[in-house]
Amino acid sequence: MTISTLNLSFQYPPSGFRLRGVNFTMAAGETLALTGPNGSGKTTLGKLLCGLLRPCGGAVLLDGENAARWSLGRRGQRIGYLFQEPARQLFAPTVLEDLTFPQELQGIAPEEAQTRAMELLSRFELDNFAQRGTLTLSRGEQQRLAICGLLLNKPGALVLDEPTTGLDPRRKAILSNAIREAAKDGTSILLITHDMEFVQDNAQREVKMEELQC
Amino acid sequence: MLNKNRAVGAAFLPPAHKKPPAYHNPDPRVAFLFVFLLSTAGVLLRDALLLTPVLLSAVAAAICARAPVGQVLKRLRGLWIMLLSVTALQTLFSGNILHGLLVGAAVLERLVILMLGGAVLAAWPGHALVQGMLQLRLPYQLAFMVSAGLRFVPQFGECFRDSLTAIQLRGVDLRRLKLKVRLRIYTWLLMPTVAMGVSRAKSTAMAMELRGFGAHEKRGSYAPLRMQAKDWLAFAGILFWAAGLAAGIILWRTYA
Ligand SMILES: Nc1ncnc2c1ncn2[C@@H]1O[C@H](COP(=O)(O)OP(=O)(O)OP(=O)(O)O)[C@@H](O)[C@H]1O
Ligand SMILES: [Mg+2]
Repeated sequence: MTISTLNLSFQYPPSGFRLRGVNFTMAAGETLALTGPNGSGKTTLGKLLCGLLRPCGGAVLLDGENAARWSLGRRGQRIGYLFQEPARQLFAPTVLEDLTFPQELQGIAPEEAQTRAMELLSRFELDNFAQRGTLTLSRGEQQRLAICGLLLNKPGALVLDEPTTGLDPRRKAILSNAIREAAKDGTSILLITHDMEFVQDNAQREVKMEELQC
Repeated sequence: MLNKNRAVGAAFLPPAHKKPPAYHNPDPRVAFLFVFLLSTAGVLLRDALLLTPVLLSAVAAAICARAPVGQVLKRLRGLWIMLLSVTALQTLFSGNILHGLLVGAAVLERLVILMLGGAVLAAWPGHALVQGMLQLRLPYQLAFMVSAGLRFVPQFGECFRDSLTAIQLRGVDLRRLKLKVRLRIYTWLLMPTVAMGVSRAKSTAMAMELRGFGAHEKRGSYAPLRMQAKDWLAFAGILFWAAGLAAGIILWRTYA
């Protein structure tokens, strides 16, 4: 999926931080790194792309279509968004349910939902935690579970806000692999991060927050 | 002890020509008594009819105290929208429609009573409430925890809204779901919301302690509260109101 913005602008009410005239395009299957200092508006831009914040001007185009009127649910099926604080993103009581429940709502049979969930869990080395409560997981575990939740939907694009924060080197490598594989399937990936090593290993292009605004 | 502390802090007191801070008048302890009785009544009574006078008193008190009702409602938005839908469901599924309406009305009234109680307390600044609790001989830690807890109330709403957003971002269109499934999601969400709120309050309390909070055995008070004649009058009025209400309810139960 291609994501692009057209003169996107935003300001936190009443007169807080503002983004002005952001223009950028991500091709289908491209992995793009978005970098910039703390407080430069990376998370804000990510939230705008996913519809968590409404732009004050300009537009977000998904596959060339203005997404302003899409419901969050519809956007969520197309874009997977990893929150900077992954704990806020988990909602079911147990790890397994957090992955099976959304699938069941989409009409997938419980057995199949469970198989798919377990596959992903074991890929991210979380299979031993299937019955654990989501709130008792460590930060790195929560992060990986949240990423599993995103991958389940096979979204056209992923916006990952600091996906490597709190991951050990081994789990980072697993994430790298998952990202590359998704990109090969045509998923566009926006990596918001301060982890330059990870950027060099995974991104084809890097844009700095400063360069985006006119 | 209190007087000595006042002398120490005297340099920091507002100049004499300025009006004393509003929270002295009326004393927050009067509000404690009222809200305590109010919420007790709200929790104990189950009958929509009997809850009505309690609700009316709560409304009257909120108006008198100039309680920031709108602000409280706004902060708890996620929570009350959810509770309203649960109430609507309870009404729908309780079989007999008239009975269902009465049950729904009772739940709603109770909810509004508790919220108004909270709003009445919110009319006093947090430090006045802590001071009031202290002078009621509650341990400082507890008083502080309660006031810290109050500060986290808006975060409950926020956590709740976050989780709702998270579900939708996972590709679930909430508006298209059946009520039953939606209800299940709401109950799920309530748990992590409460758990997260409680754990935040706990970790704040611990962080405060690590930074030396409560290291000294005795603390003085900068602005001790004193009950004025007006406060005692209000106190008596509230007790009178409670007694009247209780008598009325007992009479109603025996004869109606
Ligand atoms: N809800 C909000 N209301 C008002 N201002 C906000 C809000 N959220 C963020 N900001 C401000 O907007 C600016 C950009 O924040 P943002 O979170 O987008 O930065 P960031 O680039 O993601 O930073 P970091 O690298 O620390 O994650 C900051 O100055 C922040 O204080
Ligand atoms: Mg950020």
